[in-house]
Amino acid sequence: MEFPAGLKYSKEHEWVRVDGTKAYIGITDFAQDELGDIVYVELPEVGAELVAGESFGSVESVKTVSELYAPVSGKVVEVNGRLADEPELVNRAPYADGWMIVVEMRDPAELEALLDAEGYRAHVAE
Amino acid sequence: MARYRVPEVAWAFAVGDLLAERVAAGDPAVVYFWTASKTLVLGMQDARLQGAKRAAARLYAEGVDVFVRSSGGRAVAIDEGVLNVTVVVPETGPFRSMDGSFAWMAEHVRSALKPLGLMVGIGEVRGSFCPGRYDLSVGGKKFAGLAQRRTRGAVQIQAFVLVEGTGAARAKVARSFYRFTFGERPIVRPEVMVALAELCPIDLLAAARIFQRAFVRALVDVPDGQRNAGGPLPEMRVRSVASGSALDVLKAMHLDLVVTERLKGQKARSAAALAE
Repeated sequence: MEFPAGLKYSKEHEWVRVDGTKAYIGITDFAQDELGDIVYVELPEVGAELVAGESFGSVESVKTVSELYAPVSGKVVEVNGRLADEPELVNRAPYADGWMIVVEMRDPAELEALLDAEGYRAHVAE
Repeated sequence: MARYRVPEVAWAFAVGDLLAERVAAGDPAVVYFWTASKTLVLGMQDARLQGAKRAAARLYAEGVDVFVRSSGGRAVAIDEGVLNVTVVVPETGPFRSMDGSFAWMAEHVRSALKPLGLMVGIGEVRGSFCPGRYDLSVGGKKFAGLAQRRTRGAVQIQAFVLVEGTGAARAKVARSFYRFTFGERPIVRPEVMVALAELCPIDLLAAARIFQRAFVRALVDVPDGQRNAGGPLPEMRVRSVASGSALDVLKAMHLDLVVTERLKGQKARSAAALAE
């Protein structure tokens, strides 16, 4: 199970990689492992406004749809279009090719409410 | 371009989401029963099939509503003779995992039907509509299937149970949708589906009573054998609501205004999924 250092994590199992005012967002290795084979990913369109803590999409695996929750607020500036035809990328490389969206953060201070790698590791061990 | 009515199932799913929010916030677990008129309830993958929109329009012209749901799995054909059971529980105990949730639900459907003399099998029925590992069958023919929707703090476990009429007639509705679409899609074989009324004397109301009794008891008193996925289940209060119409349930619970907002979301989601 991977918990890369340098990323921020939400308790709802999303990760955030910060690049200036942009946040790359995906789901964690732990989440993809729990979900099993992902067959469908539903994501917002570029331009959508996200609010931290609210749903921004969903993933389907094994006859189950699980909601995804935004770790930070802001405008979606990029969506990983490959996931439409290759949802399995989320299983195969959750922190790399399986990224989901890029958000232009409205309030980078929201990052402080997220966990670091050690904090997230402890959270999933509970 | 075809214009669609708002299918009744949009209400049912909107109610489910509202109940899930309340259960996550500490409300009692809920066993929620609903029925709807003739509708093909698509999974999200079905909506992405090439030709899905045209297939939906053709079914609509034949009097079948089409709706894209926000829970897992593939197309399910329902009508007034199909009992839909949604168990809304906090994400705890056996419900912490997807497998634990499915296994719990399947086992309780099976045990609820034992007094009727039905020996229920659990496992995928190939050729059935919306196939999965937790299909429920008698003599190799599927009469019920399960799906889940997981939101923060709550889980909705949904079962469709073919009670009245025949399994084959519903399978043909699902099959006709897939015949109008292209690409890799499920093959539906009407001969592997069955309704409970083809197996024993039962009607919708009797089935609802059986499941209501079974699930309420199961949620109040989870047997030790089920306490395996995440420690003991906290004491749960349970209420059950049963009705032929989701709107009646809402009115009884004084929730009809609150859910209208959710309904807009469900409609938009389904319409967007079927847009080309």
